[in-house]
Order: sequence, then C-alpha cells, then structure tokens
Amino acid sequence: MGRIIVRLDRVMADRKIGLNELSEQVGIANVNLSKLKNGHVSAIRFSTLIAICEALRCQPGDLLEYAADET
Amino acid sequence: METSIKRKINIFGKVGKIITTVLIVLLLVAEGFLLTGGVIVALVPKEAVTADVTGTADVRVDANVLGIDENNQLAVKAGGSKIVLGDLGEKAKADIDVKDGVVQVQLGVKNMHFNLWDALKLIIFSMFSLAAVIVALYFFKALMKEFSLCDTPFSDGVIRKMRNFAIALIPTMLLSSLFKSVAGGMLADRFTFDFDLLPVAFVVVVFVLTAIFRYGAQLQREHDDTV
Repeated sequence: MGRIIVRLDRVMADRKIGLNELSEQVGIANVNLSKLKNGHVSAIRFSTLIAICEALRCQPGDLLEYAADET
Repeated sequence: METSIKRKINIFGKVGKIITTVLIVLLLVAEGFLLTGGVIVALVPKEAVTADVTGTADVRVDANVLGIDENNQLAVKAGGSKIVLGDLGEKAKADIDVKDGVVQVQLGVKNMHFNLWDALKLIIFSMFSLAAVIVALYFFKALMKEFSLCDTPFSDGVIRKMRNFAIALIPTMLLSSLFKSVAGGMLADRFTFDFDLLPVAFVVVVFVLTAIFRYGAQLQREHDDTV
C-alpha cells in the first residue's frame, strides 16, 4: 500500500513562515503541527486542512503527496 | 477527554481503591483467623469433638390423592383419573402405612457423624477460597489504581489490568463452586459438583468489557493520531 507524504515543511519554507506563527494563525497546538510536519500523524481533519490552506494560501494538493509502494 | 469526565473517572478509581484496600485487609484478618483455627483443630485429636446427626421425617398425604392401589402400586389421582407411578419396593411398603384415609410414610435420615477432621477440611477449603478472592481483589485494586491515575479509561494499562482481573476471577469462581460442593457433599454424605452459573456470567462479562475497552483504546489511538 502506498502512503501520503505531508509537504508542509516545503510550503512553509516557500511562504517563509515559522511553526509558531503558523500555529497561531491556524489555532492548532505547536506540538500537533510539528507532528503533522514530520509525518507522525495517521489522519488529518478537513477543518485542520482548511485552516492550514487558508493560512498558507495554498491547495490541499500542495500539502499532501501520494507515494506509491515501491515493491 | 473532557476534564470533568476525567476527574469523575479518577475519583471513581480512588474510591474503588480505598474500598478494595479495606476489603483486602478484612479478608486477610479473616484468613489469619482461619489459619489459627486450622492449626488448633489440626493439633487436637480428631475425635475430641464429634457431632452426630440423626432424625426422621413423617410425611402424611391424603389417601384420596396419593395412595397404593389394589395391585400394590403407587398411584396418584388427578382430574378424576388415576395415574400409576410405579411399583413399590418391599422395603418401601414396610415404611408406608395407610390409616384413616391418610398415607403415612416414615423416612429415616441416615445417621451422620462429624469430627474435627471434617471441620479442618472445611477450614482448608475456606482458606483457599478466601485466598483466591484476595488475589482477585488485589488485581481489582490495581485496576482501580489505574483508573485513579489515567487520562483516559481506554488505555493499554487499564486493558492489561482488566484482563488480569478477569483471569484472576477464574480460580475464585472454580474454588467457590468446589467449596460449596465439598460442604454440601459432607452434609448430604455424597459428593456432587455444584457449579454456579452466576460467577461464570460475571467472568464472561469482565472478559467482554475487556474486549470493548480494547476496541475503545484502538479508537482512542486513532483519535490521538488525528490533528
């Protein structure tokens, strides 16, 4: 089975925005955002995705990427 | 989890822990008394104290309802018709006397003799049963302690302790049934295994609860991994 890679770090770097600032704008705890950035979560709520897309002015596709299984 | 719910679960755990601790202490004291009593009984000669139980029972039945017919068979009259129950043995016939329209049966209760070894047997079985209850309570106390400290009841610690409690209940259930069988067997002068279904149902309920909590823990993990 393939997997979903979160590209939040790349979009944040493009927008030159830090984790703390994004955390304040989105209204999500710094720890949870860090988990999301490092791919340590198994699911994301639509409400979270909407808030991040609004803060970073991007599309969900910019944040998420599908990687097919190599085997 | 909402703080008020979490606080209620923690309080429930604390209260349960206190009650269980008190129960364990009381049962340990009882176990101590049984041990002392057992040692004393074991040291005294077994015929030092004896008890003999004898007795008879007189049963009277209206001869118009239950009686012996012309063929010497036990019969009952119901709804105007006669139902033959069966042939009576010679010994039974000797015990039955029909007089003034009443069937009188004299049942002799077998003489029973008890000595201190019988008491010792009961004490030993009581000690084992009590020990099993104490062990089960110890695991229940551990479960209550986990509830008093946990952030959510659907955690691996709670599930592990609930499963341990359920397993500890099995010997308690078996020993209590065995104790009743032994005590009953001594009085009836024959051993019959008396198996209670209620404790079995309780153990099954605890195992089912463990399975439900395991599923709850899985949902909790999924919830925690979602941002």
